[in-house]
Amino acid sequence: MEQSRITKKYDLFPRTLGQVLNRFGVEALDLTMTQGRWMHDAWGWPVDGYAAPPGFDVRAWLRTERRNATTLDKDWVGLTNALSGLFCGSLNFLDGTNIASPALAYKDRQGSSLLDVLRHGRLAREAVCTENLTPWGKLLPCSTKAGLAAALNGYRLFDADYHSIQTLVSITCASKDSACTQQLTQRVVAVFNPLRQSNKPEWSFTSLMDRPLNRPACALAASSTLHVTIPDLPAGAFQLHPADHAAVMINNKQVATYVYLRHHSLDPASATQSLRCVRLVFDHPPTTDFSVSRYLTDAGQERGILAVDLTNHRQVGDRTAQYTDVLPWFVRAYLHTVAYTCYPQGHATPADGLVEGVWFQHGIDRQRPTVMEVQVTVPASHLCTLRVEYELANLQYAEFRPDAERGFEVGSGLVTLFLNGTRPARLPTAIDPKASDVVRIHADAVQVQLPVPDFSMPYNVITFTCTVLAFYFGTMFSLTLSRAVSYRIDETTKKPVVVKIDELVWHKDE
Amino acid sequence: MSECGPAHAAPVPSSPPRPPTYRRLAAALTLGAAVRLVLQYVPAVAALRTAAQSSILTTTPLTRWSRLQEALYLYDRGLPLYDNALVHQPPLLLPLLSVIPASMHPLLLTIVDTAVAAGLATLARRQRELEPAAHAPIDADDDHAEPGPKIQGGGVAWTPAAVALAYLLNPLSILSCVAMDAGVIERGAMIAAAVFASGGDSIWASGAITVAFQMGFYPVALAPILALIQRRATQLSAFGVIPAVIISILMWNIIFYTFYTNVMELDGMAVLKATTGFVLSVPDLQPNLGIFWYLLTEVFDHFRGFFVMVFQLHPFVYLAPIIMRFGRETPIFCLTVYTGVLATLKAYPTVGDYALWLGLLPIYANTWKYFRYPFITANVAVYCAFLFPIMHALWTRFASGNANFFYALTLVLVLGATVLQADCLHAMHVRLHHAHAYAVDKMHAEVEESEEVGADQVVEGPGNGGGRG
Repeated sequence: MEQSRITKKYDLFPRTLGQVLNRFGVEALDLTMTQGRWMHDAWGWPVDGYAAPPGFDVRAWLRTERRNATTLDKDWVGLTNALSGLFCGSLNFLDGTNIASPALAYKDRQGSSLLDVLRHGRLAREAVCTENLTPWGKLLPCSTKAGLAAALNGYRLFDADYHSIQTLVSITCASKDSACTQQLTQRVVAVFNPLRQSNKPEWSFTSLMDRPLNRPACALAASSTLHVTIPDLPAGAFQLHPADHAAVMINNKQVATYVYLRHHSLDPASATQSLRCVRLVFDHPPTTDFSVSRYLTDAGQERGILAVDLTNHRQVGDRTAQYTDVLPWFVRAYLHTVAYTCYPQGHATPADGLVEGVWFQHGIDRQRPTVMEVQVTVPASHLCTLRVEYELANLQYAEFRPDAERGFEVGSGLVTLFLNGTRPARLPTAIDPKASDVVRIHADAVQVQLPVPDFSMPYNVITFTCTVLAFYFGTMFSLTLSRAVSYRIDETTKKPVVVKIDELVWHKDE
Repeated sequence: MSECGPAHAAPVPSSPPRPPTYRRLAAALTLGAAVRLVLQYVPAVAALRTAAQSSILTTTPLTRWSRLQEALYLYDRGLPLYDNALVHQPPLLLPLLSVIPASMHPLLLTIVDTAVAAGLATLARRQRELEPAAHAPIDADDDHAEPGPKIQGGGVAWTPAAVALAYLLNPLSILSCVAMDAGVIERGAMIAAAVFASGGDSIWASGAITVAFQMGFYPVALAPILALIQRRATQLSAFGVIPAVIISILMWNIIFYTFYTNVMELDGMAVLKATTGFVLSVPDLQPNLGIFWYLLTEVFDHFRGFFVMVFQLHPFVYLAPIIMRFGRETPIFCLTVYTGVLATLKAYPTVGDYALWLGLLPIYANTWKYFRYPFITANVAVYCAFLFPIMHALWTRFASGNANFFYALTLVLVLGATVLQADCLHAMHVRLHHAHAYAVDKMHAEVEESEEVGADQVVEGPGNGGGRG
């Protein structure tokens, strides 16, 4: 497999991951393992503008030069198997039936050339646990023995309201044909709730993570820094220890910076175990100026309507949004029912729907999912609803999961907002400059219940059905292949005993 | 309707007799069409329309109108028609449907349903001439009766208008039409084929049955029966007609597929796989009135192919005995029986298939007096009519029943259909036999009488000649 354009230097980049990417011709990769949904209405915009959908989410940009569809399929299978071995997740279930190649989404996260093809698969049901965290930590240069990663405690991390472990590989090429370099970003995003965990309106690093910050920084790290955002409140409302810290402005917010030193722990050493903020005061809930809500309507297990509400809270200024959804094959969506209606907030009369384009790939049973991408305009102060009707398929006996009554997850949809220079307030600056003009919001995951047969019945069903069919067959054949024969009955005919008794009982001869 | 009342005592003297059945037929068709149009267009019953159009009893994944709407949407925009799991109808309907505005589609289905009723009436009328064996007298009263509908010992024969009205006012066929089931068009094509065949028109009969075949596959099995009907209509030999019909069907298929590939620019294999291949391989296991779906849901993968193959061969097995027994004298009766076989045993049945079978039965109303189990059949019909929607709703909407309730009803329906088929066949047997026995007796009596008259030529008495009665 030729990868001559990508420089191979494995002093910082983990060799295990690099060789997997080289072997299967992967230029860029996003792998996120998430539990929970980022609640935009409670927490505002996610850190770095990047929130991951619940479950396991894999996006790979595969190089297409000198490869045809069959080779790409084989390489995808190899990639998912290798990643599932690497991260201990069931990524090998991402076969053809639940992967998609969206045409419109993720254009800003391309590989090195426009010819790269994106393959995207999601396992909405996977749970994240220590088995996933440990191999992720091993990819770091110092693994979890030194540095900030040493403070990651699985017990506390997985108790958070939202946690996401992300491995992002992106590629930059200096110019078109020159050598390219891949950058690996490993990120853990978590939302802790100190009130729930310790019942006290204060938090400290130890109370959150149950581990002291007493390991030295990683020797290979160029910089190792802790940023704590200072709330926008009068000085007496809170306290931050250690008090002497550098203060910088990041994203229009005051941020306290603590430098994590190499050979010994946080300076001053006496305060490492007590990086804490006393007296939590609740800021007014940070809001985003765009909210998304996804839900199912219509009752019953046969059909339904998938609806997505897009609300533009801005007073002035329309927003362009792209909605991408990958529905599993057993949720059969109808293209002719895609409808988009906008209502001014507080009013009931609909305005003109503003759909700029619909890209729809119908699903095929047991082969590929339905992919729907709609580009719409959401006018200012409007609530717009995108609706699509679907029918639910009936699965075969063996295709149901254990606990079939629970139903199946339909993974979250994705709303991509194009900012066009108008950034929402309080949106953090993304680290990746290419992604600065786009914000992604993952909508709620929903669950569908398919009609469930009785699993105790295979033998009984076959027996009953075949018995009824045999009855039908026998009746039809005996009545068509036999002839009516008549014989005269007069006084000399011998009557059967039963008929004689019958006549006696009912006095028929009288 | 007054067709069951006594005939007029004296004929109208002066004007030439205008056939009254056309006026009564027109009235029946108008009434049936009016009922359907009211239910399809009046806003007050919109809930019934919505429920019927998505109910699994009246529509199937093969025939649901929402799937045709999807196909129309794709066709209007030049998108691939069969690159999905939704569209299973052939493309021949689409050019017509895209020209007619969407609000007139229910009217189109009403017209087709009314045409089915008119076709049934035509079949009933032609059956009088084509199948004298089914109308042969069974006793002396029958023999000396005036022609026309009358309550007689032999059972009343219904007028064509009554046959049409029985189909049109059958709630199953009304529901099927309101539900915008594409099977209405398929059944229209089947009846059109039968009407053409009974008129001796082989080419159009094969064309119509090809349309029905492309929409549902099973009507192709009617080809031999249509050939036999046509044979009775044109007095040709069976050995010539059956191959001619089969070759005509092949030719029509080639014409249609050439149209699809060259004019509509579709992939012929994709069309075949999506339409006929879908019915043959039964991939969609949505519950319906039939018995396939639950068995194929529960069977293990290893045996699925075997069961599908056996279930698809099964309806064709009944062609031979029915044709052998009834094909020579009464081929329209073969059509009636086989329509019932298809309704019970096809892969994706609807109430409309049963409505067509029940619509063909009144053509043989003169055999109904020999039915042995009408009470059982009526009861099963009522049970099924009420319990099917309830059990389905319990399973899928209220989560308080399970699939077995609904499945049990499908078994009950097949058993009821068995009883009704048995009754029909037995009644026809008995009637034919009675007619045959009467004819034999009459012949013997005439021979005796002529012998007696020949023997006692000079002596004529009042008591002689009494071989009858």
